[in-house]
Amino acid sequence: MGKTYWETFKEAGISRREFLKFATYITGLMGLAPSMVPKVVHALETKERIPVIWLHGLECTGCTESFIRSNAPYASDLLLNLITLEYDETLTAASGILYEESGKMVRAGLVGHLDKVVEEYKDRYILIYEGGVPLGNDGKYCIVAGRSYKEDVIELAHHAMALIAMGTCSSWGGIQAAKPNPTESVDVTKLVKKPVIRVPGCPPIPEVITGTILHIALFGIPPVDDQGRPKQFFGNRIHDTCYRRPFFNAGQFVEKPDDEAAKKGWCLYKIGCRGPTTYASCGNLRWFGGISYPIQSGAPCIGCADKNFWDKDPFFERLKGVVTSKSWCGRRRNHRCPCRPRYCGRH
Amino acid sequence: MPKRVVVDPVTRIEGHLRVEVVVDETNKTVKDAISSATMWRGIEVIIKGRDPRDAWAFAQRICGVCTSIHALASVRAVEDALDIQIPKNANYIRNIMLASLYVHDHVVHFYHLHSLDWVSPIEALNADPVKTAELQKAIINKYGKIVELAKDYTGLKAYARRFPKATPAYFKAIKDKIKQIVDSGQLGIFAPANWWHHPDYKKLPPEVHLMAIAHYLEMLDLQREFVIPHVVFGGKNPHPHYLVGGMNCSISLDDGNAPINTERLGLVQTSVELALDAVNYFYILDLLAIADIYLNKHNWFYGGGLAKERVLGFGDFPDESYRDFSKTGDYWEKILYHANGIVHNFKDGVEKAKYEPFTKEGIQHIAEYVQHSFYHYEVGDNKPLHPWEGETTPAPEAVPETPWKFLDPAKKYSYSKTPVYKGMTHEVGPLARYIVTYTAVKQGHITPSFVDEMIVKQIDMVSQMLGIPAEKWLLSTVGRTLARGLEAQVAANLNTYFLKKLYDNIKAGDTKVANNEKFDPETWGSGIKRGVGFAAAPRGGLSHWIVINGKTTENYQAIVPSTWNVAPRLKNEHGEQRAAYEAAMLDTEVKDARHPLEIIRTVHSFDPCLACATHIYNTEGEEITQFNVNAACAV
Amino acid sequence: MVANVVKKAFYRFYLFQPGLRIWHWIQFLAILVLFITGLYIGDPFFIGSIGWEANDAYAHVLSMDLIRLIHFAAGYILLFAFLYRIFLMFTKKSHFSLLIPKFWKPWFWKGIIEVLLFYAFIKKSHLPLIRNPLARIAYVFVLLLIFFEIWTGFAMYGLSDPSGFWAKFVSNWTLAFFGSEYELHFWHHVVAWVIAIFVIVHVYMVFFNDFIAKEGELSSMTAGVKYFPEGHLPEDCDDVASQKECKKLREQS
Repeated sequence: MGKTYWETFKEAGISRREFLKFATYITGLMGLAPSMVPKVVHALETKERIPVIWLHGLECTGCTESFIRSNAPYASDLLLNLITLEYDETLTAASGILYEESGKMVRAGLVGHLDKVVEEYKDRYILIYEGGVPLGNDGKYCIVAGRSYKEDVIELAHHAMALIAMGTCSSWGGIQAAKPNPTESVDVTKLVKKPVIRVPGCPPIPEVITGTILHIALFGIPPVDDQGRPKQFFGNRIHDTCYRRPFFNAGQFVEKPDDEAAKKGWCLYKIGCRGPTTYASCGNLRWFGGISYPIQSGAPCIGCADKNFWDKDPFFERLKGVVTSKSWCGRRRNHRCPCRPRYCGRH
Repeated sequence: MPKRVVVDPVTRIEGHLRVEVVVDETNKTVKDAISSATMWRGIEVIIKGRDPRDAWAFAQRICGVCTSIHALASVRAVEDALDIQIPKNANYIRNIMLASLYVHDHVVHFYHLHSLDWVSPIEALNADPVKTAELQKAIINKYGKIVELAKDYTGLKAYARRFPKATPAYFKAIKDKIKQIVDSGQLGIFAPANWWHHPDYKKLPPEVHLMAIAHYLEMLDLQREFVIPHVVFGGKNPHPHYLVGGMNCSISLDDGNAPINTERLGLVQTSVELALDAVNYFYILDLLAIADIYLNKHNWFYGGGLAKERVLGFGDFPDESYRDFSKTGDYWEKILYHANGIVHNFKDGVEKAKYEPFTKEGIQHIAEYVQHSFYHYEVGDNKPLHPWEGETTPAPEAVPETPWKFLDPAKKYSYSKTPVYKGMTHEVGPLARYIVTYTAVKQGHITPSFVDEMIVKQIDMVSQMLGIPAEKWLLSTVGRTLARGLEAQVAANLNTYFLKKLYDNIKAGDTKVANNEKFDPETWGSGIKRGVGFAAAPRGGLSHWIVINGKTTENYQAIVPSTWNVAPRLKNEHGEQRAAYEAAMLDTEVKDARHPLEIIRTVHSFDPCLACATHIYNTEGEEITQFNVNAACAV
Repeated sequence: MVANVVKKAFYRFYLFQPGLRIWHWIQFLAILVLFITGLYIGDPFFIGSIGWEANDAYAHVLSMDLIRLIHFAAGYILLFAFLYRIFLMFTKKSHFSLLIPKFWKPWFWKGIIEVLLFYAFIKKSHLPLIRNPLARIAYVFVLLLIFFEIWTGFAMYGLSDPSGFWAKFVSNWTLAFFGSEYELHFWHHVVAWVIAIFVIVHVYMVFFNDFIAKEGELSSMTAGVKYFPEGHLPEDCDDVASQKECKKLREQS
């Protein structure tokens, strides 16, 4: 146990040369300068493989689904070579089993294994958790293995080396915490006073998930901003990295879905795009290795990596309930503007 | 003495599920079974009062595994309420996204959520790579005929690109990797080691284990490619973007900045071709190999359960854009996949089974009970309520104190309600849809479309290959898993069909993807509008219901496939009934009560999706009435 | 009829040095520009659904890019004007003291009531004050609002360069404080409207005071002085003059 990556590679019969190639590749992947390659190699050679426990609270499993969509690196590479995922309700083979024997409840199967893992890797495992924590009705809106998820996550967070909040739900409560928050869901920081790495997004981009895990496995905690988000993935506004930005600068906007401007790929600002207020890598990394992102597919961004974005609806309007110039040039007047009639009424 | 065992959490599913079984250890039978959904999120409460144009985004977050299907049902419901007919292209694009979801969801379900109930990485270590390569070839030869049923309608695919690798070196590499992981003691997702000691893992030869584990890994890397249509048309996956009135992805062949142009369609083409190959040469063949051994060699016909008695399906894939569901109901006339119906007693054979179509008239017969659910009805918990008049008050006091030891089946025990059609529980899912379509065609109730014909051919061909009549192999855990695989083949086929239609329509000069006449809520007028959106989700029949008052969502409800299946038991004028999970578990043998693998396998064959099942929270009927009164006052 | 000329003596208070007066008008211009460009940025309404081709946009002057540039430039002017105003507090007593709502003084509370009655045309005059309590509250308040706009504005501005000066020292913690940038945009917008409403009320009040009270309200921000007729020595005299001087004047009257 406790093999370094290099040892793992050696055992797999991979040459030093291939190993270095891999190190160079992931260095680039993580957005690091080529000068960092030796450091990455060093890290790969000396770091121990870190056990990971992945919990699911009130969630939709979209983040785990996104995790397996990654191809740089592949989720299979992470699962088999870089981390050891000891507990995950979506991917692990075993289920939890409970039965009674001589008057005592026995925890077997996966739940028994969890107890063992926590004991063995105390303060050394990474806890990734997905989904909100319901506090309503004493946490009984989410019950796993007969215990409330609330108790589980508090206990496991306590002994974790690092906490990663995967997705918007675990970062800030997410959709179940949207008004009126019927289950009184919160994020774990309300319960555990520990620094948390937040990887928001509904779901986060696959390579952002795997990239964050990789960074921790190789270099430790990534540099984060004041909200705990890794700077390399959440430092830029989508708006500032958007390929449609020139149309914004030129004042060329889509007015309605699928109008002439939409066919030309103009800026979606006026139909509520949240790119100008959302920090995520959609503009630079894009999805599925650069194929597209919602704006490229013509859909205004809903700001899914943003804190409490669900309560910033309606998504097709730019700012909720704020008096904008629309009240002057009003919708009902068909965008005819009293001040500059020359420029108006052109649809 | 019967032993009581709890499986909690049931893993390799979506959400949180607990099952309890009482096993008689002497004859290995299941005496009683409970399935309990143990989470609740309240998404419908959250959608209430918001812009109906946004409802899809909220509804879509019901589930991240069958992502996009809830968005589809949601936009369909809003369009039904507001009387919006979507353009042709939008219909084709939505169908391509739906079919891609089918392929992706079914493949991921089988390999990553279900296959480890049949095969074990530990057993794979005993396999001989040379023999495994030969086995792979033999399987292609033996079952390969079924591939001929699938067609590429676009006609662009030059040749099949993805075949299973049948070389000893490949299987050796996989075996070495597994060996290394097992030797390291860090099993990761395959932990704990004693999980693999169950006798059922000896049922298959080691070579099948190695082959399946190799394909587990191969598909883990490949599955992302099947949903590329979602990324192209909807911007991302999971949770692609939808639009009330069509799709966002404008098509233009004059502009490189357009969301959809020829290069983008090329990406879809590649993905669709790949999906077809993966389903044809990996998924179905692996399934048939395992099914053949389990059914013919081990006579393992357990887990049929409720499918033997009653199944329900809604049908999908409208060939052309339709008007609505609830007013003219022409959706049911336009669909290609005629799984809209109810079949009783399929166990008696396809000739004797009782068929009844499901169309607009069926809407009024859907209702929900809360007898054993953690909710209360004002009219009393023993009465059913139609979703329009439905109400739900969560019953926090009914949830037992944690830690739970065993649940009491006499009391309330699940966050799922019990949906019924004409007062009875039904099984839904790919198996249900296959039974409905097969019966409808064989008994001559419908004019079969090419999809229906393909399904009948598939079933007949598999019956012939296995040498077992359809009503026998279909009605089992194995049959449920097989039906899902066959449906993936149909979906992969439909992908190419609708892509061809999209090409043709663009060629004819139509590039419209959204009907934006009613984009501005000012155009909707005032008053109450009701809408319903049906969809055949990968896991079964799905319906979303919306009430729009003026510009806001007055009420929102969803009755989802997993609710039908996971539901707690029920007692009404039709007697004592169980929903599909419980019925199927009762229909299973358990060899080792401390390790009820058979139970887990049977539950997995439904592809449980618990976040879907338990977000249900209908609003009070009287509120709707109250708003009717208000509307009258306003006039 | 011959004009009814009366010889009257005045107290002449020199309130504002030229620097402060210039500041006031620069700030006014900056806010005007910021407000108009801000409206456009918030919702680009001038141009219909089809604007100009990217290449032509600059030729038409009104491109989003240019408007944002003007907005940012004006923002910088506002910021430096604000800092300059703080510096001005140290240059003359009245630059500082007139901004303090002196709620511990009896005239402050009496003033509120009298001024309200005066504004409502119920009372013909109110007790003489260089700056009445309502104005004191309003000016402090609006300076805070302007500070809020500068703060939120630069926080949003900063993050286009995530490792730059503004991002490091302002944006990061501001974003964490507000939750996300959406809220920043929202409140920046709301407060801009509050300032716009202030401007309208402010202009009305200034003219009202100048015409009705005849104490030189307008001239205070042009010539820098205010006049009070003899016998009407302002209660807050010592905010401008020294206490000794005020005492002397008070004794004289």
